[in-house]
Amino acid sequence: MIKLNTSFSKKIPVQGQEFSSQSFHASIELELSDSLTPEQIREKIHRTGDFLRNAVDEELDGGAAAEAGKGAAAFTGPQPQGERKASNKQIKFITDLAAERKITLADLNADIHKRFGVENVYDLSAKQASALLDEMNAKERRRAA
Amino acid sequence: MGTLTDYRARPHWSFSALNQFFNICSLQYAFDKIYRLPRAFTPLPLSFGSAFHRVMEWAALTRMQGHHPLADDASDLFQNLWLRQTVEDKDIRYEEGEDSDSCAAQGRDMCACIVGAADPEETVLSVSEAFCVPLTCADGETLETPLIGEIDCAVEKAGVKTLVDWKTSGRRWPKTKADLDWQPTAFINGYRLKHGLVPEFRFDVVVKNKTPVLEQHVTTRTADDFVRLAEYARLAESMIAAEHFCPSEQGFYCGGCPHQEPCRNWHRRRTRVSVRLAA
Repeated sequence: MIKLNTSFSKKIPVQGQEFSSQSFHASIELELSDSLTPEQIREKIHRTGDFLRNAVDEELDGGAAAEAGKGAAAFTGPQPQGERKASNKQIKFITDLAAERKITLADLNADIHKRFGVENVYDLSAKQASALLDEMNAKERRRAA
Repeated sequence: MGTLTDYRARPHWSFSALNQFFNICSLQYAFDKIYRLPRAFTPLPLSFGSAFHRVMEWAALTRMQGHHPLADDASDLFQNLWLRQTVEDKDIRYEEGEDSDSCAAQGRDMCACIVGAADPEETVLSVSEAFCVPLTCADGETLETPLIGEIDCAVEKAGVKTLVDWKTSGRRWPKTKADLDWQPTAFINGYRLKHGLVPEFRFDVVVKNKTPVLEQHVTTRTADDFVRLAEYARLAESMIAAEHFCPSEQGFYCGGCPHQEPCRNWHRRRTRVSVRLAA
């Protein structure tokens, strides 16, 4: 069996921020039959590359995200590639604050998904976690005042 | 969606780490996860299970797409994957009377057995779904180190959601094993916190008889079990910080342990190292 790994990435500038870019990346792994000729393998590579390129472009245009009812948030939120993930300590602060307010993990994750476009509190970047913590702490202070 | 590889990048607990620490051997855990000693050989069950698991993944994905995987295709796929596995894992240690060819033949039969027995009434909801969730102890404290895992397969039948884990075994499972095992506790907890509902858990075990047999063991867990597992993780963290690693030298697992040599020298050559919490 032949394994075909194809990936496609695209960098686009962040509007309003000089010298910044966001990178979008998609990859796919396929298993091909041993019986394919080199020509057929080339054709598969070509088609898979096209498929990935179109899929990434579609997502960047907001097409698929909007269709799925996720809106633009799904693509303004996710962290740029290579950004450091939130630490366990940051996440513990977030989940502790959420627990104090009787917010379940499923509800917290749903809110995070809506706002940052990631599935799980553990998928947040360090910056996103920091912003969320600031906001939660500010709410806490307002409540206490 | 986060993958298991993403979640492994942060300090974490997993069912297998906790199971290795408390139920197999804490010294083996330390050699693997703390001191990171190279393994003297690859245990056969690890390589065999790897190839078997990939066939099961293929079969479940095929079912998820609404098709019926064929037993013969599963056998052929195992043959290919097993050959590849034996090239990747050069130092597989076979047990007496076994070799690569006998394992290939056995794996083919086992894959055909489990794939042929798939329930057509069952809908496959997900395959290889990763989770990363906090562990909460009995006093309400949440551990900093999360619990991660990857659920082989989630299925639904007549409105009942069940997490399925594929296993191979040299012998039939005792009736109590599924109810005592920590894997359902860890995985049901992960799924519950991720999706907000408590599913059942089923081990699909193919027993390596001359003619393989499929056993299905269904089990459930309660909130108390989740808290108990978290307490074990908290205890492990304190034991690791204190380097309390102890050989379990009359254990069932010693024969297949790839760290037998350093284990024999453990009492003579203990070295203190700076220990990171969890694996």
